[in-house]
Amino acid sequence: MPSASANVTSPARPVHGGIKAAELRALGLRPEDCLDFSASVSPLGPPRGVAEAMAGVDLAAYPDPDCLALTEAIAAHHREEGVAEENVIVGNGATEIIHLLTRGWIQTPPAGCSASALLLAPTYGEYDGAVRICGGEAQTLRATRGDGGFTWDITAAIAEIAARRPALVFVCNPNNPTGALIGRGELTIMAGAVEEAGGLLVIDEAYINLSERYAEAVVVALAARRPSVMALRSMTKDYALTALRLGYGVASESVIARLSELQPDWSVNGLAQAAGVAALGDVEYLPRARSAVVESQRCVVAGLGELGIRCYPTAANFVLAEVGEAGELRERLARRGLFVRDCASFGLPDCIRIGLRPAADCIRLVEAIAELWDHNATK
Amino acid sequence: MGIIYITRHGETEWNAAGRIQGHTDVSLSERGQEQARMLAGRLSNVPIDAVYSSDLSRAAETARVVLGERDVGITFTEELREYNKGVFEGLTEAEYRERYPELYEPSLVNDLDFAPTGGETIRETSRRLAGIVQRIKEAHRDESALIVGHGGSLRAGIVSLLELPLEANWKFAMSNCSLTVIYTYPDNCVMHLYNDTSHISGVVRAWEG
Repeated sequence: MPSASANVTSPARPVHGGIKAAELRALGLRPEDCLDFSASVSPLGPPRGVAEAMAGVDLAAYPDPDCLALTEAIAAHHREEGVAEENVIVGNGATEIIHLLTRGWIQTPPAGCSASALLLAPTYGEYDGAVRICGGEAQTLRATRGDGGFTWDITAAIAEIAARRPALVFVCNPNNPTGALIGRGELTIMAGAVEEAGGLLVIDEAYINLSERYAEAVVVALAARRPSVMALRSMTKDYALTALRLGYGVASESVIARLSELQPDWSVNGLAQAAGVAALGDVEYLPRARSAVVESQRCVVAGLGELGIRCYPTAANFVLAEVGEAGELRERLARRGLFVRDCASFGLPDCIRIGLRPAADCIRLVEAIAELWDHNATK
Repeated sequence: MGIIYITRHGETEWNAAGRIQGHTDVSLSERGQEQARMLAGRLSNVPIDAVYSSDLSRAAETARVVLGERDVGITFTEELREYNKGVFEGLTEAEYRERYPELYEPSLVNDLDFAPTGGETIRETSRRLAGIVQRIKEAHRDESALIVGHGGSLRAGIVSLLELPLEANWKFAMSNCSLTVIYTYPDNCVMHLYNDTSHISGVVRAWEG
C-alpha cells in the first residue's frame, strides 16, 4: 500500500523563509548588513522598467480589481501555450491563490471527492496550512531520500489519488526544498488519475522560470486545456518583486471563474500590477536570470563540496545542503548577517536551503560556512 | 564561469628518494596511492564534468583513484607531462652533480632557456602547458574540470592561466595530491585555493623536483 499518512503534528501556521525585523533587532543587525539566502528569488533584482512603471502609479486611485492589463500581458506571455485571458487569475502572491483553491475545493469538495488534499512532501508549508484552515485533511506522500536526491513513487501517488479521491493534489515542481523535478510525462499521468477522481491537480511552478530544466516539465499548456490541472507561477520569485507579492495561476475557464468568485476585490495592489506588466515586458530578463542562477549554483555546490558538504541535485534556484545541525549553523550564519533557511520545518533538520543570490554573494556565504565548519566532525 | 581543479600526482618511490623523473614512467608508491585516496575523499561531493591527465603512470593512476566510480571519462595527454629532464632523469641531485658538473651549475640558476642535455627548457614546457590549459579552460567555460599532472609543469600551466610572467613559476611550490582551485571567466581567472593539503594528514612530503 502507498505510504501516505495524515500529518497531524505540523505547526498551526507554516514556517517560511525571509528575514524578520524582530530577529534583526535581537541580533543588532541592520537590513543593509544582511544577505538573504532564505528566500529563493531571482538573483538579478527587479527587471528594467519596473521602478519607472511603479513611479507612474496614481497612489490615490483604486487598483483595477480585474487586473486587466496584467492579465492580458500574462496571456500574451503564454500565447503559444494556448493561454487566453479567461485562463488566468492574478493573486497577491501565488499563496493567495493556494488559499482560494482550498476555500473552493476543500470547503466544498467536488462531487465524489473527499475534503482532503494530497501533498507530495516534504514541500512548501502553505499547502498544508491552507488545507487545515479550511478544515480539510492533508495527506502527505513523502519522497525517498537517496544519494541521487529525493524521489517520489508516482505509482503510489496515483494509487493514493484513486483510493482517497482528494479534492486537491499539490505538487511543487521543481520542489521546495528538495529541488527535485518531475517530468511532464509523469505529471500528465497524474493529471489523468486526478481527473478520474474528480479533483484538481495543482502544479506550483514557483521556481520553474529560473530552472535550466524548464522545458522538460512546464505544464502551462496542459493547464490551459485540461480542467483537472492548474499551474501556479510566482512573479515575486521570477522577477524579484519580493516586497510586492505577485503571482498568477493558469487553468481552464471554469476553474478560473470559480476562483475569481472567491477572491476579494483589490487583493492585488496597483503597484504590483504595474510592476508585473513592466516585468513581462523585459523579454531578456529570464534567460539572463537563468544563467546567473547556474553560475551561483556552481559556486555553492563546488565550494560546499570542497568542504565535504553534500548538496542534492537541484532543478531550482536554491540548493539543499546536508550540514548536520542545520539550526545551529543557521544561527551562527545569522549572527554574521547571512540568512539561510533551516529545513527543520520540512522534516529535514540536517539540511539548509540556500537561495541562489549573485555569485559574489554565494562565494561570501561559502567562505563563512568554511570558517564555521568543523572539519573534524565530518571525518 | 568554469572551475578548474588542479592536482599533482601522488608520491612515487623516486620522489621519496629525490630521483629526477621527468618523462620517465614511474608508478605510485603505497604512500602515493593513499594520498590519491585522500584527495578522492576530499572531492567526493564536488561535481566534476571532465578530467585531463598526463599519460604518465603516476598521474594516470592518481586520476583513476580520484575519479573512483564516477561516470566521467579521462582524457590522457602527453601535453600534461612533466618537463623532459634529459640526462638528469633517473639520477639524484648528488648523482647528476657528479656526472654532469658542466650542467649542474647552470641548473641552479633560474634560467628560462636552460635544459639538461636532451631535455626541455622551461620556456618550451610553458608553451606546451599554456596550450593545453587554455584549451581546457575554453572547452569547460561552464563546467568543472580536473587536471592531474606534475609539479614542475603544472606550475607553468597555472602561471599561464593567471597571466603571470613565466618567471613566476619559480615562486610556487606544489605538493603531491594537493588541491588547487581556479575559477575561470571569459576575461579572467581567479585562484581560490592553492596547494591545499588539509585532506592529507601526515602523508605528504615537501615538494621535490
